[in-house]
Amino acid sequence: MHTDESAFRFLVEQSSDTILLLDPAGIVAYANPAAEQLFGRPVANLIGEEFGGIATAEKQSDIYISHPQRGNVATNARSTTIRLDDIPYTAVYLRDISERVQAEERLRQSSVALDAIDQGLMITRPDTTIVAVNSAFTTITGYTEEEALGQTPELQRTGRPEDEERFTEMRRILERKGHWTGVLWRRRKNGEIYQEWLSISPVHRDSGDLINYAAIFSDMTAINELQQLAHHDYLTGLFNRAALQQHLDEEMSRTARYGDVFSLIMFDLDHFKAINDRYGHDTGDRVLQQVAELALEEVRDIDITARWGGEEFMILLPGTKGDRAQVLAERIRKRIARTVFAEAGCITISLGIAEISAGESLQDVILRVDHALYKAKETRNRSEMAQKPGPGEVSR
Amino acid sequence: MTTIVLHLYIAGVTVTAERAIDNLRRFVSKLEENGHRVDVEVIDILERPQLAEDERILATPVVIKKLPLPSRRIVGDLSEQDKVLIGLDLKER
Repeated sequence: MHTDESAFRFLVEQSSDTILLLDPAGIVAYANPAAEQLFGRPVANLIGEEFGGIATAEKQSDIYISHPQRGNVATNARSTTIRLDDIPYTAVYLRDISERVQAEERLRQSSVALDAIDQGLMITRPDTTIVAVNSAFTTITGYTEEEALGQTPELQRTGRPEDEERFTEMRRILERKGHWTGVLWRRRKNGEIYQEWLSISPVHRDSGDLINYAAIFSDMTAINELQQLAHHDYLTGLFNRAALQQHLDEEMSRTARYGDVFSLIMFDLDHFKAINDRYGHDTGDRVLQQVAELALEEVRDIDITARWGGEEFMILLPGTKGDRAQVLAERIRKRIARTVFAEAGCITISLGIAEISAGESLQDVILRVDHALYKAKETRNRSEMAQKPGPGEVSR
Repeated sequence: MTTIVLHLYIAGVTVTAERAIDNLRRFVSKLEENGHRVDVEVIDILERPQLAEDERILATPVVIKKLPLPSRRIVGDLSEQDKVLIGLDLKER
């Protein structure tokens, strides 16, 4: 036993954490050498002083040591009861965390300064305990600063397996690379699930040790709504011309790179001006909406249906040859022709179809489908396949 | 019945200090519910360093029971009410 005791004494005396032994009245009965530095006085002067009992929660137990020169030094305290000669002593372990606390305090102050910005800010310890948030955090998540501090980002988990998986993956990348940027699904206090754009960066101390993570995030809900507005036609809900243009550009680069084929269907309403003149523009608008709905019911999920302008529509059919596109065009034409519109009676459409040719520019294929539609218009209520471009017309 | 006199010493308004104040408030209202008369004072040692020296305070936050004697002190955020009760020797036995 004697060997064991000296081994324990060695451990205690070599510890860089301060270890105190307090008697039941809170008087210091023993202090290890590390205590000298923390308290700024010799161990001999500590013995017999009244420290006081300890009453802190397990997790959050920062206490401040009064140091004659350094002021109040932040420590993390843990305690346990040890019976010696049947007297309950309290063993206290104190770890100097002043550097970290000062850094956190600075971050907390800067997060107050960042209250003005509308991006959420969350600062955590390496173990992900939240130590600071700004006011946008509260606006976005619904959790107050008081509710968030001491918690972890687990607070906002959605509980959906796919989100959990993604969260775990994010943590793994964060641990490996130190930073992470991306989109996550989170839950607000009111239970609502939302998407956030999140960027996490490490905060290091001068020695290079990781002391905090700083996470900046924004609510994607508003952005998603804006994108919806920016990419969709207000009347029909279909993609607008700008959005279709983007899809067309992407499709063109796929064609250029992999030789993928695609087709276009362009159609417009026959005698639409007469409908407007006769029933008014409100009816005209509703007819456009219904035509859009009917067309959407006929196209496949992969097709991109857009309002090209006034009463003109364009459908992009990726990976589809012209003959297949014409089958679909005919289906749409027949569907419209046999529908009786409540406010405007019978309506027909005319359609042009074109398949992209190798080496052809986007402009040229749109011109060809436009011409085909123009030709279909000669008799109306019909679809017209565009002529293949002649060899001379293909420009590289 | 004697009055219980408690002094809470904090070192600036830190998160821990705020928590200690909250917990003390709860603790005191419980004592008062049980029919005790309690006098409480919160002292920031950054503002009154001499007091801290006079009291020979080693760590904060610390609550000192001045009365009834014997004087007792408890360090920490005071989140564990039972430990505070026992530590300040206020637990009825």
